[in-house]
Amino acid sequence: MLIALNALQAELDAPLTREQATALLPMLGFPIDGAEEKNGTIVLDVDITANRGDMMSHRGVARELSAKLGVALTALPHKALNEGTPAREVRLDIPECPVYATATLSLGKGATPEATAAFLAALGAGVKQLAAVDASNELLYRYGHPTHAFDADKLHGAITVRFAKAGENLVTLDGVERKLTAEDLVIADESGPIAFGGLMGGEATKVTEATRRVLLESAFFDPRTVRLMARRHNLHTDGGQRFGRGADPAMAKVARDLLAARLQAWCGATLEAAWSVGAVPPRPAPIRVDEAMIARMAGETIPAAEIADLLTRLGCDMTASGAVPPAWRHDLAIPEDLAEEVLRLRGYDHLPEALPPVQSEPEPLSPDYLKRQRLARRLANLGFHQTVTYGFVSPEMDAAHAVTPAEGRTLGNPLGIEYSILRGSLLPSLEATARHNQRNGAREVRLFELAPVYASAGAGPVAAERLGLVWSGVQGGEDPLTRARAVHPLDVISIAGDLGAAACSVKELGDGLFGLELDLAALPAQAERVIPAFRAFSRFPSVSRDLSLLVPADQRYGSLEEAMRKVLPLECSDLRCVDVYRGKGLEPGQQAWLIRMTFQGDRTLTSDEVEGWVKSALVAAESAGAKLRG
Amino acid sequence: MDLSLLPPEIAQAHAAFPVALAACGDLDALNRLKGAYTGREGSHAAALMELLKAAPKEQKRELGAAINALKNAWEESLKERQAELASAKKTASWDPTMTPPLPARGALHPLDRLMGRMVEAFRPLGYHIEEGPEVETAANNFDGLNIPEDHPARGSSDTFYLATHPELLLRTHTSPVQVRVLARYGEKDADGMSLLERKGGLRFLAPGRVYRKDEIDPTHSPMFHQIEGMLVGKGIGLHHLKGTLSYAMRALFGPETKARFRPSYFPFVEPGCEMDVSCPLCGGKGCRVCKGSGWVEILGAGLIHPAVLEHAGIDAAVWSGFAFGMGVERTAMMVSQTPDLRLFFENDQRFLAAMGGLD
Repeated sequence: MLIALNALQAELDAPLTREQATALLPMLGFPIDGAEEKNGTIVLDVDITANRGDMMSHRGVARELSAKLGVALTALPHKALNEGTPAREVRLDIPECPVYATATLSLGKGATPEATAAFLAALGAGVKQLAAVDASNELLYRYGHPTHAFDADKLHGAITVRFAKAGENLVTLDGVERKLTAEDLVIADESGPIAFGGLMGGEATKVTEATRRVLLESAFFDPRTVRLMARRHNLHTDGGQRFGRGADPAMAKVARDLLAARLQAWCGATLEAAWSVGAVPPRPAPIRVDEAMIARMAGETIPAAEIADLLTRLGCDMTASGAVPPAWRHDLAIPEDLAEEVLRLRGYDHLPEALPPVQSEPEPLSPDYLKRQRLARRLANLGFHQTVTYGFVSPEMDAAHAVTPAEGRTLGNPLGIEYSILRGSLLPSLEATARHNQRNGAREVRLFELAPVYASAGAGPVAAERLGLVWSGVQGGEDPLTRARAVHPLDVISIAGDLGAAACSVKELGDGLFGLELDLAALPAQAERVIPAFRAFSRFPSVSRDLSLLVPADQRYGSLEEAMRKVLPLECSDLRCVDVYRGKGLEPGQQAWLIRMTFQGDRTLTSDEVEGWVKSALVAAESAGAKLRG
Repeated sequence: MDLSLLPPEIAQAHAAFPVALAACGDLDALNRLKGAYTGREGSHAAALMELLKAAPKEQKRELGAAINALKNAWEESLKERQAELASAKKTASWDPTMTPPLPARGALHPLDRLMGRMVEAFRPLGYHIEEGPEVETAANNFDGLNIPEDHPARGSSDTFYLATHPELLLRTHTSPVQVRVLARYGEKDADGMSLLERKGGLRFLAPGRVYRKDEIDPTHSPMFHQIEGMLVGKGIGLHHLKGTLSYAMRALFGPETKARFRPSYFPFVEPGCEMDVSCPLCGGKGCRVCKGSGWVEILGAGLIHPAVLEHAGIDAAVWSGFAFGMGVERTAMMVSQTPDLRLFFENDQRFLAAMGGLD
């Protein structure tokens, strides 16, 4: 909220420097978001927390500073009007508007004073050169109490404050026709609603240059009712903000008087009548001042006299049964609220510092958390970059990989269609990220993400933690020792194996990009034992034998290996294809595989037994379609 | 060849032979190896000849054949290696200044790395990790946190709701984890005891992704990260919050770091506060990052509001505690001076490699 420093200084009965204001307000809970000079006036942008409607004016901010500094506020330039016979009937039908002060005046000629125009301009508020409007705005920013002026000649009969009836409409000052509900608090005359209570006036009764007579409104409206109306109609106004957070009901008559006095002074208006209906609601019951609680929160005892002094400065009346909060503080209700006020005004800087006493045993980090941490570190060490992408994607992106319908995973109010589905797979986001990196000239793209994906189910989206990984490009070839080669899907399978995945399927995403997605639940947890149980390993020498096999070009390696393993003994510690050859010297439709078997036992193996095993492996390979290459 | 007739130390020497052979980088080394295996005296071959001499007559034939096979294998390999070394000697020896192969070099995401550092900072104080779902109920995201029914944050212009399940939303902060954990710790078991009573207290961190309906721009994102913390015990006050956070900030930003506490307002804490730390970039002297003030805002915190404890069935007259929450992106941008929030979600490998590293 914008605060003009000179107007703030005018509310305090003691000098206040800019430095004081900017140093004190943040330490009271109101950070300064910025400061600028406008036409010689310093304007501070003060951040007011949502609980403090009373701070939304120069007077409110000054009141807070006066409590902190222990100096008085200047007296309000207020002369109470003599109330007399109502010029028009005003009825309050509902308790949500307990008090309504009004007056009618006939306007003369005159302009908004320069000082007021400059004040409004500094705050970025428009100057309308309509005395009733400019004066009402000035009062709102200066004292925090919203008021309104109707063109009295456009009103029909008695005024009622009530809830709207079904089917009623209101065209508000912004020209929007609004359908009213039974929860909307309206000011109505005999023609129907003429204003939204506390939010905005109506177009039909607004003050214009042609207006000769005005009826003033200065009331109090229930904060919650106003907040709900503002939300329902998406109508956020200065008045709504102040009534919505809680205005001071005792200000209703005062603001009416101040408004009338401005009209009289600015344009020679003459008062026809002033009257009010209803009554200012009684102050709330006293709140217990819990000295023990305050000491517990502060970490030290604060003397009762100091507590009473601090609360009194904030406007509380101290009674035997507790502190009665001032009418402008709608946020004080329980002893904790008072404790906070005492500590806040005293300053958090004064509080001691201590570590809390240890009251419970620490707990270990959860296996799921550790699993993700270790996976991320492992993958980073394997050359992959961890990514973070949005959890929602477009329907097209989602449809490419998701296995459940998007319907149960759709946002009702997305930022846009491209961010509307809670993703069923990590691959679309990773693919898009990989494409971005490819376009930007990355020679090799290695990305992964650890995040939940969602499946549609009756009770709502069901989350599952996943690892997604994409890989493309060329690896090696950037030094004399390593050969350049394109990333191959088997590279991806090798990573999955390294992470302990029992099975995986590599997705070919096009343009040499390969993807992999694994459920974290399917990956092995951190070992139950810190170190696995000991397994003896052979200290005897191992022997390797190679078999060069001719196989049809469409032969699957897996079935051949399976056939060979079936006949090989436990002593066969490894069996792998170490080379594939196609081309010159082979018949068309054939390829050659070099299969290496390694044998090791708990004794030194004889060449005869090794040769025997190799022979039987060859027989098995032949039965699976291979021939020994001559 | 059949090594079963030979003593185990010879079998072992044979097993080690190929490795030792490959390790010979020059002819001198090779000659030493040759001496050890096939030399006239003191070699493995010499030992085998002694063995043969001492063997009973009927075994000599078979043993002799095995020994010969072994010696021949060694001699042949030594000859091959000698030829290799001789030819290598003609070419230049290796150049240590030549471009070496690149090791695989990936990176953790900088946000993950920062959250990891926060966890490390709090771990010595005994905080563990609690996590909750991203798809939450309004009850956990708002009601349990004392956020009024008409609070603007509940509106569809601030919070994402599911189309088919309007009671479900994407959590707008990590604080619903508080609600879940407190409910678990507040629930009475068969003996009428709660977990909180059994354990005597509670402290945890809750890192995670959160969502708010903000348009994407250099300082806003509809998804971002928070790391939240909470402690519950008896007699807990603001001084404990100050002590804990000051310690953690020194652990995170360095031993000279100062912390400053200002009042603030969040519905789920009372008293509420915000914490500034002395600017990690200029050390408090004043710079562009701290806008000359020497301080940067780092997190919101406060004592747990009694309504939050009572909502979880925990007696606020007995138990008290504090909670705090930090915006991860905000802090990451501040300490790294990253100019645009979108860089964290664009995931350019050049950014990730430079900002995340291997930690």
